[in-house]
Amino acid sequence: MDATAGKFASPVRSKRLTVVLGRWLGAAFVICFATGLFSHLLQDPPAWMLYPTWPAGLYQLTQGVHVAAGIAAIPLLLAKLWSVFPLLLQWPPIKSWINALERASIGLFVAASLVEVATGLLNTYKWYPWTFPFRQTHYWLAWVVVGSLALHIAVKLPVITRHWRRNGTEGKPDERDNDKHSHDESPNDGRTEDKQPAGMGRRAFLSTVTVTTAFVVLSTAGQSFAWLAPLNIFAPRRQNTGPQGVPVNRTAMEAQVAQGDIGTDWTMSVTTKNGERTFSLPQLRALPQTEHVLTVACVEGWSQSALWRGVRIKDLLAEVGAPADSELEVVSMEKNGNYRVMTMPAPYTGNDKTLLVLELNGAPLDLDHGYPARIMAPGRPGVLQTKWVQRIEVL
Amino acid sequence: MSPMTTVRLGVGALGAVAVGFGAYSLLTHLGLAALLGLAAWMAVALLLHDGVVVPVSTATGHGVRCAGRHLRPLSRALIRGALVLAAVCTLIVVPLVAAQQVAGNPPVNATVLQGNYALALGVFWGVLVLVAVAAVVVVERYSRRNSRQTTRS
Repeated sequence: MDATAGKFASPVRSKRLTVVLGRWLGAAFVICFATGLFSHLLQDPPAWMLYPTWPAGLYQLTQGVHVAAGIAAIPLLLAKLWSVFPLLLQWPPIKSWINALERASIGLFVAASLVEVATGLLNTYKWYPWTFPFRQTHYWLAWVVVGSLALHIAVKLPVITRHWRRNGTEGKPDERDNDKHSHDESPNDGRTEDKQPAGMGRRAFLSTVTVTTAFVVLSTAGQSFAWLAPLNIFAPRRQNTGPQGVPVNRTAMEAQVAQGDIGTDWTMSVTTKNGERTFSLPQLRALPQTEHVLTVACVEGWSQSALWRGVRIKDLLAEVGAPADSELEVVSMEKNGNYRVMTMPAPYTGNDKTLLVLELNGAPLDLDHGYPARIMAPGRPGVLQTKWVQRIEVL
Repeated sequence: MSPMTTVRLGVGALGAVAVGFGAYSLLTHLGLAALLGLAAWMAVALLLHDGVVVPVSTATGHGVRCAGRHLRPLSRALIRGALVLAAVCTLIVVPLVAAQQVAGNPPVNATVLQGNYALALGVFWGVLVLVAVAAVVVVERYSRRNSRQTTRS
């Protein structure tokens, strides 16, 4: 088996290479975890949650970075695993019970990481060819990945610190031989390729990984950031497309909302402790109208800025005699869906930019964008920008 | 206890708690069918990676080493780099094409998967081949000219 491992050996592989790749991959995983946790907390907020409403494009940034870092993690993960692959073939496969535990934890780490990035990628285009619920699984598996990362760092810390900086003896055969006899065996077999210094091979490999990672990020991040839109060739979303130049996350057909459900007699209600008041579309249009450029930023990573016009929520609340910093429950006309009922915490309700939108880019809302009325608030995930508003309740 | 050991124990303990938290939550929140599905995905991911991706990439790397033994190391590095870039992009784009097939025509949501990804990937491959070939030709000619000049002097 060691002979098999030898066949897989490459002069490019070394602990230094693994440490460099591990730093990049670790950074990508930590960014994904932090931004993902932020998104999760915005959607399922604990009592202590703070709701940043400034800058208005904050969620566009964090979720765009989340997806971009996840896509960057694909080549980084493959390169990192390639750099240590011969260790998989070590013989005997298990040397002690601690070694068995470590190998089991690495197996879990690798499997969880591969599934996390693969399912995350498929979620960006809403494809779910599996039996588990995406959001919960992605969230809990993220804890397994980040916990496994910490465990892995703890186990490998001496090797990591030894190879954190480039040292002058790298690439020389004696350095690699010494590594081979050390506690943590290097996958390097000490051969050189056509007298090419291993350092040069490593630099070429790291350059390849850098270019590949940059390319996959730049060719997809245009779905999240307008300045990268000209490079967007491999992203599932395109900016400035769809009805009224804005992409749609959930269509009216998917939400089972039909134009026929919204007649000229359509009204929405606002309920307070003092009773209920209904508003027709002409009555809403007769209230003071405010417009803001706000960004729809979806958990799938895409985002789109547009000009939204409608009634400020705080003005609507003043109209029914409710305080501007009230917490609200907003109910959609959609027949089903996890976000049919949305809670709006006070920081959004009292914000000047939070609107009950009636118009998008200078025209009445398209049915797919939530006609006759939808919510837009600064810095919230798109799934909480409730469309087809039917009822607002002041809690 | 040395500072290194303290840090390792602390980070390791935090990691173990996080893994336990995630695993326990998965086990208690997902039903049996979902857990079996997740386990199957994790097993298949490992098998595909260890059994297909790495052997194929290793064999391809070996092939480049043998077929390109008369080329400069930089040329071989450029060929390897182009192959890695092409392979990773293909890995990312093929599921897009598959998802388009599943979504049907016309799709329920026309603003997802809007591109002609198969064509884009083909064009990308073509451009990559041209750039890689041009780069290798430049490297080989430049190296030969340099070596001739060195020999004359």
